[in-house]
Amino acid sequence: MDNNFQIPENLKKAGKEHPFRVPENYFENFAGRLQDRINKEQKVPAAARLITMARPYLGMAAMITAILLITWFGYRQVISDKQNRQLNNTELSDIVDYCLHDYDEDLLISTVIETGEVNGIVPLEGFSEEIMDFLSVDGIDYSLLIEYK
Amino acid sequence: MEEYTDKELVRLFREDSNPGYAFNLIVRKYQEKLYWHIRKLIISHDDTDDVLQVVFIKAFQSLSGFREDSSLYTWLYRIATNEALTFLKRNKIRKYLSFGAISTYLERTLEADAYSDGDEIKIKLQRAIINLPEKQRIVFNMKYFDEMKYEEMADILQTSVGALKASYHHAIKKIERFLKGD
Repeated sequence: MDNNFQIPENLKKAGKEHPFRVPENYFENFAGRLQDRINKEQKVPAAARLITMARPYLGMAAMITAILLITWFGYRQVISDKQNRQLNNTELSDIVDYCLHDYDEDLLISTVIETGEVNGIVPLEGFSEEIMDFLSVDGIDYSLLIEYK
Repeated sequence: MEEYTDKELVRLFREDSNPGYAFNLIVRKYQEKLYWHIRKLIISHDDTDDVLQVVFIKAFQSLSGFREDSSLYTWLYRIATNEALTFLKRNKIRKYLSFGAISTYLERTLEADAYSDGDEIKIKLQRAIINLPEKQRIVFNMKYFDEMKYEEMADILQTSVGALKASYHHAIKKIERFLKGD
C-alpha cells in the first residue's frame, strides 16, 4: 500500500536525488565537534546557566515594570496638568454662567442686599452703591464680572 | 565497529560509567540520516549543522529519562523535525516574514547556499517542494526521498496513516503541476 500513488512523468524525470552536498569530512568530524560543544556547555558555571535560563523571565519582568512606570508617570502628568491648569477668561465666564444659571438680576441683587454675600462669597471691602447700580443694569453680561475681579 | 541495536545503545548509555562513549555511538549511527532530514527542511548547510548539534545536545540531556515508548530512531527523528520547524518559525519571526514568505526565504537560501548544486531539474524539484505547505513538505521528503513507511512516519509525526497518505497525494499533485508549468 506504500507506493500506491503513480509517480507522475515530470517528477519521475527529476529523480530521487537532491542537489545538496556537505563540506569534505563533515560527517567524520561532526561527532568530535559535537563532543567539544557539549563539554563547553557543561563547563559553563551554574550561575551563568541560571542567568541564561532566567533571561526570558527577567526580560518579561523588566518589560512589565517599564509599562507600569510609564503608565504611572503618564497618569501623574495628566493629574498634575489638570491641577495646575489656569482657567482662561472664556472658561471662567462659562463657569459663572453655569453657576448663575438659575439667577436673574433681581434675585442676585436681593441676595446681596439680604446677606451681604454673592453666591456664598462675602464681597470685598468697599462693596458700594456703584456696584449695586451696576448689577441692577438690564442686560448685564456676567462675563464682565471677571473684568472687575 | 560493533553494531549495537537501539535498545542496547540506550542501555549502554544508562549503565556505562562513560555515557559519552555510548552517546558517540548513537551520534555516529544517526548523524547522516538526521542531517539530511533537517537539511531538506531548512536548506542551508550551516543552519542544518547548528540545528543538528542542538538535536543531539537535547537528546544527550534527555536520554536518561527516555521512556522507550517509541524507538530511539523515532524519538530522534521527532526531535529533529521539531527543532527544524522551530528554527524556521524563529527565523520567520526574526526576519518579520509574512505568511507564505518563508518559501521565498528558502528559495533564496537554495540559490545562495554554497553547498547546493545539481542540474536544473533537481533545483526545480526543490523549488516545488519549498512551495508546499509545511506538513506536505515534511511528508513528501520523508516518503519520496527517504522511502520511509507510513507507519514509521505516523509514529514520528504523531498523526494517522490516512492523513499522511492524503498529504503525500496532494504534495505529488502540486509538485507535478509546478514541474509542468514554467
